Amino acid sequence: VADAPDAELVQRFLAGDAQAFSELVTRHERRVYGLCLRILGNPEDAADATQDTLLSVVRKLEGFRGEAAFTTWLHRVAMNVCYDHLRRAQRRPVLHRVLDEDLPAQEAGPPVPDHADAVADAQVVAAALAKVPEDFRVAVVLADLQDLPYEEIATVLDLPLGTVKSRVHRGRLALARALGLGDIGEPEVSPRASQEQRP
Amino acid sequence: MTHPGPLLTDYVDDTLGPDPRAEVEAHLAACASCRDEVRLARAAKGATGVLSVPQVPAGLADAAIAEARRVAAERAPELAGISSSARRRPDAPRWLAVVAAAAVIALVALVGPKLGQAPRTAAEPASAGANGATYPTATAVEIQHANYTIEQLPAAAQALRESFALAAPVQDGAAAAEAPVAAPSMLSVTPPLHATDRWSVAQLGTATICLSTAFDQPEGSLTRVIQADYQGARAYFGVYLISPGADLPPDELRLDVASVHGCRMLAQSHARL
Repeated sequence: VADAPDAELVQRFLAGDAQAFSELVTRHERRVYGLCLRILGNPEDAADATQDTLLSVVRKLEGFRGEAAFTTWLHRVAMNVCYDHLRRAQRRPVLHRVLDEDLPAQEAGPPVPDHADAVADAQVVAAALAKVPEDFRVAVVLADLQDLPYEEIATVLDLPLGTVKSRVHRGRLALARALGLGDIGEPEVSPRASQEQRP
Repeated sequence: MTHPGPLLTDYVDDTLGPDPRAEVEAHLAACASCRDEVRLARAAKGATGVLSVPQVPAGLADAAIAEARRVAAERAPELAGISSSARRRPDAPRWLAVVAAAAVIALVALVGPKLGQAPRTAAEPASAGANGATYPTATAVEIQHANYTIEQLPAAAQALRESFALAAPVQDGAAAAEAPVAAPSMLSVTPPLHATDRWSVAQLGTATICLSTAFDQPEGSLTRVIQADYQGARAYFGVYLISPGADLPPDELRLDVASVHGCRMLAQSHARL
């Protein structure tokens, strides 16, 4: 089971082999969680969304036709769940508590300088990413963190390839701005995709 | 001047062939604003490299795997090795029963004076027994911004028991001795009995499976599902009605509390109706 391609595991599961699904989870759970974490911005919602995504996968797998790669399809399912969570969060005027688990785990004992710097950097970048408007953050996360090719992102988001590239570019510029790297080339980013300008 | 558009993204990614690349570079030589964009986009792309995926919390896939087993068993019973005779009710630790005995009463306040009269948006009559009694069935998760703590529950239990004419939950001496002794006033009890903030039909499936996973195929009719915090952790509160026989009205209410993360059993209790 461990060497079988994803598509084969899907077929095995649909034929009644529950273990095949467990193997798919083992392979992809981390990636789904990473996606949800960067899109939603906090571990609590990311855990919820990951749970919902995996459950959704069980139910929708029958509809997976193998036209796209399993990872593309999985990202699509996960993104739909994340969008649900984002819509919910907009209706929920509740400030998130800052939890210890929001911060990257620190190792006990005196910090190794390089590692400590890396942790600090990661916090800064994660916080900056969370400030990038949703549609552009999604594009950057899918491209630069999930490493999906632009064609796959276009499938996941149901957008033209040109729009995907435009959003990735604008998202990167917005991230650079949030990181305080510079203001030049500031795109008029807006949370609504319909208002976006193409460069 | 026409800016390169999407080609600029490919240029930053360094994925252009020689010709378009030369074209973009010719433009960059003349356009300071695009040069800045390239510099910033590259810096941002590089910055994302420091983000690693943290450890995935344990148990996130439990509900999905349980559901996958169920689905697989339906498709090929001989493969899954699960039989319906494996259904059982777990023996919850005694302290959990005490804690939740109070919780059930607290929940009754949310449920209303009569369970059968739960709001229509949350429950609707799903089946009728021979005697005409109706069993409401949960149709949405009720989301509450409330945290139910151990300390608040005993006082709530006392106050609400009288209001709703429910029998006292069963507690034996040893278990009662382990119960928290705090006795807050009703004032301190009232805040957590929040009204439902919103309804989520979409979450009902997840919540039902989560409760079912935590409590291993619980019996009874799931009449309401409430999502709130229990002891600071997000939890599903499943309210089940249990009838003594097929055609008899329910005579028992059971509350199952399961963690949303990991679908672990947190508390369970019963109350006579």
